[in-house]
Amino acid sequence: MNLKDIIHYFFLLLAALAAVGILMAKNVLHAALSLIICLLSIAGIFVLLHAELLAVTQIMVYAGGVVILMIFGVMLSSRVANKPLNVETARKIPGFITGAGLLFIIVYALTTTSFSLHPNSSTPASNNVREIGFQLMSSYVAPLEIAGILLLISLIGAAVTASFLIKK
Amino acid sequence: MSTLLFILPFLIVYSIVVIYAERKLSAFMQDRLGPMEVGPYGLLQTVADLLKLLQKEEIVPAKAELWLFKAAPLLIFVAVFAGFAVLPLSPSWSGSSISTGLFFLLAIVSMDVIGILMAGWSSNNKYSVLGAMRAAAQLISYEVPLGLSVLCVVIVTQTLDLQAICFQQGTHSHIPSYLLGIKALGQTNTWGGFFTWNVFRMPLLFFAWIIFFISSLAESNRTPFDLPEAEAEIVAGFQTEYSGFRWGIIMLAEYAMMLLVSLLGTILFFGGWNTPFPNMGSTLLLADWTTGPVWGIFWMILKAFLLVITQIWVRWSLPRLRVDQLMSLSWKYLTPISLILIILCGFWKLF
Repeated sequence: MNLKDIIHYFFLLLAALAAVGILMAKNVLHAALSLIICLLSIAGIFVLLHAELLAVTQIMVYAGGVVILMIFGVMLSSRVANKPLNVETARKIPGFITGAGLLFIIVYALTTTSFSLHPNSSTPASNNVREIGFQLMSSYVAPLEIAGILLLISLIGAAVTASFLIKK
Repeated sequence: MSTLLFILPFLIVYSIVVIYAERKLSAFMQDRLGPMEVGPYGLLQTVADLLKLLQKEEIVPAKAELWLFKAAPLLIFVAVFAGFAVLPLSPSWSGSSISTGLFFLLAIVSMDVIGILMAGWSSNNKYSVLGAMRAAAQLISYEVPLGLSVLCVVIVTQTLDLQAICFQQGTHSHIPSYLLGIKALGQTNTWGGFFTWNVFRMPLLFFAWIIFFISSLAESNRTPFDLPEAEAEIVAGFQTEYSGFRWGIIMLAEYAMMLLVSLLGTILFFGGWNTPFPNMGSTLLLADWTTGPVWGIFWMILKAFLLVITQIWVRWSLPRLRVDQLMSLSWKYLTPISLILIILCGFWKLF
């Protein structure tokens, strides 16, 4: 077991512990912080698997997303007013069953699928940003555009909702 | 790894020099003398301040969230410091040469807002929470024009690797660069110097730099965008409860952020480690004489210092913005202008 493997397992363990931390946290903000630890450890695993672009995207997208979550956490759990919003772990048994079922499906899918490299792909190149860019704008342009339109719709929706509230 | 060994000691020396420079420049602009007592011309004032800061008692509020409170300044500094890892310092010293360098830098620097929120919330203080909320709103908003203005450069250079961007702006480049970006005016590859800098290869990028500079001021919480620590309204914002060493770390992170965005601006727009002097004819090879490993670091740091001094100059010239002005500047002016610039850069690249 070399150093890279140790770091790999460290990140895996950290991600799992942080995920448990989200469930156990009583305070919304602590849960949000556990979430960011979990997401960053996954970014670390991506780096170790030579998926640089994916790792950086993970940090970029989720760091921003979690910050928004934290803002809501701060607004809801006003420590200053001494009335922290505490969340409780409710519905333990249905939650456990759902989680176990999901885990079973994922493990089943992972063990029965044979992962083979794409016939055209060579060894993981260090500079695959260019290749990913070309692929996104040629073979996979429809999903990209649909995702873009979806985001645009939500942006316009947010703006319209906000201006509607101001008029009232 | 070797970049770290250079950057960490350099940051300490840099912040001592720049805090002194800031105090002296502000004194000059306000017709005062500034620090004069410690050492000749007050040169040792910052060192004395630093020694005082290190021995101060560290006070943690009784109702503060202890671990978050203690970890937050370190998180802020680590986020900013990690950004330095990908910076190339000279032609042969390329930092961590990952192909997504620029993207990584923007992503990791955006992490510092998490530290700021942690600091503000865990202090258990109204002003800290207000400051942290302002900081989060401001940093998230200004990331948009910052990213878009950086995207203009990426469209022109077609790479995310900072070292490759530097190489394109000098005589080593194998990509043809034209005077002011117009092919009819002739190729400037052999000239080098400031002619091959991005702002001269592609004049539109100068406007992109203005947007980059304004948003980088906001990203490093400097006046006119220092609402998170507006001392007249919310004491000192998210850092109100900090003292001693940890407060020093927060300040170090702020000054490190100033240097980081200046270095990034230098690399993206003003040639990175490339010399400003062009080759003149075949005998006066100023560009070739002033290029090399040591020259690279020298030019890089000189240009970054000029940008840092510009930031200080802006800080002591302009008043602070109001919150609504801050938001409308980002969303109603900078973002649309940078979107237009991206379209223009794309068309420029096509023809």
